[in-house]
Amino acid sequence: MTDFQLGLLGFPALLILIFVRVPVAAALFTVGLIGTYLVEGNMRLMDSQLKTFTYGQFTSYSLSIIPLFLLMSEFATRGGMSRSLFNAANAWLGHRKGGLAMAAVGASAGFGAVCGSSLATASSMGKVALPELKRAGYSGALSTGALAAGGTLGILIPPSVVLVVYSILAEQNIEKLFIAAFIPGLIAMIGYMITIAIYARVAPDSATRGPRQSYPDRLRALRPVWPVLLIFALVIGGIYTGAFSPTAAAAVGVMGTALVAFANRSLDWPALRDSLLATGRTSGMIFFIVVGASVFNSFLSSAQVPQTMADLFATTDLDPWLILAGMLLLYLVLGTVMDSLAMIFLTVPIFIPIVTQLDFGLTPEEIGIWFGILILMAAEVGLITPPVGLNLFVINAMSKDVPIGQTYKGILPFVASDIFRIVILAAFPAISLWLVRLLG
Amino acid sequence: QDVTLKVHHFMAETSGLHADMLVPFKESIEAASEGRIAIELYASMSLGGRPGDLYDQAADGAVDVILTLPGYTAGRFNRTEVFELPFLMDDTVAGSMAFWDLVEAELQEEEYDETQILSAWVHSRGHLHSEEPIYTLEDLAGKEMRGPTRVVTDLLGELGATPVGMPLPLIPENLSKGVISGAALPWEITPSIRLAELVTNHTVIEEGPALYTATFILAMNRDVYDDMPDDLREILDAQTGKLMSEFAGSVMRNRDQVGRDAAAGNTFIELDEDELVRWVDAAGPVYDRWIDRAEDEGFDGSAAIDQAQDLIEANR
Amino acid sequence: MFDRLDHFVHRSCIAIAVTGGVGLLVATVITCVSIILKLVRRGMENIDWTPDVLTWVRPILGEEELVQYGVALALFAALPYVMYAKGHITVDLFANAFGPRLNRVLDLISDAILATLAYLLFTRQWTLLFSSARGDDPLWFTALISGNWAEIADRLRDRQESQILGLKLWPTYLVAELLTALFLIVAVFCVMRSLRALAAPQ
Ligand code: NA
Ligand code: NA
Repeated sequence: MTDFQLGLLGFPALLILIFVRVPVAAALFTVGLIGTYLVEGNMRLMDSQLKTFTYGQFTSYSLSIIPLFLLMSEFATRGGMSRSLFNAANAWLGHRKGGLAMAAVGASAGFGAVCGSSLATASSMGKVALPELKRAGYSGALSTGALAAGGTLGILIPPSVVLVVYSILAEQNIEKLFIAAFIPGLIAMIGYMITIAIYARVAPDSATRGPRQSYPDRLRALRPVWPVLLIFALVIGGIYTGAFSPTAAAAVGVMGTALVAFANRSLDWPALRDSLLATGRTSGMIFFIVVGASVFNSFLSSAQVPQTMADLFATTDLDPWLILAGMLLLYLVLGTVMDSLAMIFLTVPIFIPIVTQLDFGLTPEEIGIWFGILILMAAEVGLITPPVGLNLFVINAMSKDVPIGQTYKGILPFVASDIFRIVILAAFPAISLWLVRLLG
Repeated sequence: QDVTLKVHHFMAETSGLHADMLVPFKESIEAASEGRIAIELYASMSLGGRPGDLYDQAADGAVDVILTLPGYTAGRFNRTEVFELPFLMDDTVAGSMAFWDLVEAELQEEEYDETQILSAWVHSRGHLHSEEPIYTLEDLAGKEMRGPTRVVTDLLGELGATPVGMPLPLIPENLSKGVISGAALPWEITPSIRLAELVTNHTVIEEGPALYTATFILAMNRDVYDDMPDDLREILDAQTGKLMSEFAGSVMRNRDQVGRDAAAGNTFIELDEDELVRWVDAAGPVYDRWIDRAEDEGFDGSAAIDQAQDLIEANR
Repeated sequence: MFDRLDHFVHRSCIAIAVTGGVGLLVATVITCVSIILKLVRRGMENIDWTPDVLTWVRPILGEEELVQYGVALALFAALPYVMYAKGHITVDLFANAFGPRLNRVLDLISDAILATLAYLLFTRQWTLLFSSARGDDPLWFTALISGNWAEIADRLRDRQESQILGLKLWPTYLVAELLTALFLIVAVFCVMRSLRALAAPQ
C-alpha cells in the first residue's frame, strides 16, 4: 500500500470511530497518531506531535480569539440583551402574521452581532422567545423551527467562531471574511423572515398576529438596544479600521458585554464563575479538536495527500463549478449527521489547495474568502438538518411539550431557504465579495 | 533509493530559499547520488507545529532536515546571536561564510550539539519599511514595528519604537489595518508578502554595516546523518557546508534586487550622516545587554563580537 | 465511597477550570488597557503634545505574549473539566440503535482512548520541560530516585525565553504539564466511572 492510499484510508477510519461515538477530537488524534506511525515506520514524528502541538495551539495568539469570543457570548447571554432585542424587533414586526417569530429571527440576528456562537444564540434567544411564542398561540413546529434556524445567525453574522476556525485552517484574512459574511448574513435573516411569512400563509393555524404599535413606541423600544450596536461597532469597526487586532477586538467585546451585564446587575460572582466555566468547557472542547485536527493533518501531509489530491484535480477536465457543487453537496449530506466544526476541520485542509487553483474568474484570495462564506453556510445547515442538528436539540429541549418530530417538521422550510441561499451565493460570488472589494 | 530525507520548513514554496536554494539542492543531491538519496521538501510547516518547533523536530528525529531561524527560539542560541547585532554585518555573502566558519569551528559542538548543521547563513541587509516616512529617531517614537528575533525587537525598542514579534505571514494584514506601522525586513523577502503595495516608505541603510540581519541554519538529525552510508554522506558533505552557506548568502543577496524593483515607485529614505551616528549610538544598549547576557551564559561577549568581525573580514 | 470521590473530582475540576478562566479576564484587561493607552498616545501625537512625563503612555510592551499565556492557562485548566463533564463532541446518530449495554461499552472505550491520549500527552510534553536521556545519561526517573538533583537541574530545558518580554518559558511548560497530569488523573477516574456503570445491574 502506498502512503497516499494509507492517507486516504484515514477518512473511513475516522468516520467509523466517530459513528461508534468516540469523541471527534479523540478520533482525530487516534487516526492521526496511528496513521503517522504507519507512514513513518517509527514513533518520532508522532512523539513530536504529542510534545508540541497542544502547547503550540493553546498559546497561539490568533487562536486566542476563540475563547474570548465565547466569553463575550456568555456575558451577552447574561446581559439581558436578548430580551431588549426581542422587544425591539417585536415592536416593529409583531403586527404581521407570524410577526412574533420574525421578531425572534430578527433579534437572533442582532444577538449574533455580539455573539460568535450558534448554540449560545439559539439558547439565549430561545429562553426569551419560546414562552412568548407559546403564549401567543404559535405552533410548536414553527416556534422551535424559527428559533433553531435563527440560532444559526449567531455564526452567520460576524463575529463568528466558525469563520475564525476557517480563516486559520485556510490561511485567509479574518477581517475580510467578517466583512464578506455581513451581507450573506443579512440575506439569511431576510430569507428566514420570508420563510415564516410563507409558512404562516400556508399553515394559518400555526401563527398569530399581534397588536400594531405606534411609531413613538417603536422608537422607544429601540432605545435599550444601543449597547448591542455600540459593541458591534467597536468590535467589527475596530478590527476593520485597524484600531486593534482581531484578538484585541474580541477582548474589547468581552469588556463591553461584561460592563452591560454588570450594569444590569446580572454579573455577580456565581454568574461570572458560570461564565468562565462554560467558556472553559466549550473552548477546551474546540481546542482539543484543533489539536487533534493538526495531528490528523500532519498525518495527511506526511502521506502527501493534500499535494497529490491537488495535483489530481489540477489535471482533470471537470468543470470547476461541478467540483464546487460536489463539495457543497458533501457538506449538506455530511451535515445531516456530523458536527459542523468537525466537518470543517476534516475538509478544509484538503479542499483549499484544490479550489483556490480552479478557474472561477477570481483571484485565489477572493476564492478563499467566497469559499469560506459558502462553507460557513453549508456547515451551518448541518446545525439544523435532522436527524442530528445541535440547534434542534437545544431548542427542542427548552420546549418540553413539543415532540422532536414536530421540530423536525418545522425546520424543513428553513432548510429549504438555506439551500436556496447557498445556490444563490455560489452562483453569484459578487454578493459575498462586493463589500470586501468596496472597502478593501 | 537508500536514504530518504524529509526537509521541513516554514517558508512558502515561492520564497527564494525554497525555490532558489532547496529545490536546486534536492536536484543536485539526487543527481550526484544517482537517485540513492531522495529528498522530500515539505514547505509552509505542512508537517505541523510552529516555526519555533522546527529545531527540536530535527533534534528529535521527527523529520530529517529543517531550515529555520535560530532566533525563533529566543534564549537557546545565544552565541549565534552575535551575527544579528545591529550595525555589525556589512556583506551578506561574507557574513554567511563567517557564520558558517563559526558554526563549524565552535557552535556545532556548543550550541548545536543536538543536530548536524549542514549549512548556516545570514539574510541580506535588514531595513525598515513603513507607511509614514522615518527620517529620524523621533519619527520612529511610539510606532509599532515588527521584528523577527529578540535582538531585532530589542533594537527597535532602543530606537524608540514599540516592538512587536510577529511571524512573517501575518505582516501584510496587520500592516494594511494599521495594527503595526511598519516592519523590519530585508528586501529579499518583501515581494512574497507584496510589501511595496502596503507601505510607501523604506528607510534603508545600504552602505557600511547593515541595520541588522538574522541568521538561518539548515540542520539535520544527528543519528540520521551518522547512519548514512559513507559514500552517500560524502556526497551530502560535498554539496553542503561552506559551499552551500556561500550559495545561500548569494541567493539572499541576489533576490534583493527583485524586492527593490517592486518598490520602485515608493520613497527610499537614506539616513544622513549625523542621523546615522545617532542610530548607532541608540543601538549601544543592545550591545551592552547582549554582552551582559553573554556573561550570564558564561562566554565573553566582547571577544565574540571581535571574533565575528574578524571572520567577516577574513571571508570578504 | 465512590459517590464521595465523584463529588470531590467534580468540585476539583470546576475549581481548576474557573481558576484558569481568570487567565481570560487578565488577558481581557491587559488588552483593553493597552488599547486605551495606544489610542491616547495617538491622540497626543495628533495634537503634537507628548510631554516627557507621559512617555509611559504607550501600548503595553509584549501585550500579545501576556494574552497568549493567559488564554493558554484557561485552556489547559479546562481539560480536566471537559473530560469529567463529557464535554467532548460525539456523534450520537446510532446511539438509540446500539442499546444500553453496547452504549456503555462504547463509553468505556471512549474514556479509555481519552485516558491513553492524556497519558501520551503527559509523557511527551515532559520532554518540553526536561530533555530526554541521550547516550549514557541516566533516565530521569533513575536520577530522581537516586537523588541526583544536579543531573535533573542539568536536564531542565530552562534556556528558552519569550521574544519581547524575555520571560522564561519553562515555568509555562511546568504549568501546562501539571494541568495535563490532572487531565490524566481525571481521565483515569472517568474510565473507572464507565467500568462501574458497565458493571452495574441493568
Ligand atoms: Na455572530
Ligand atoms: Na445536522
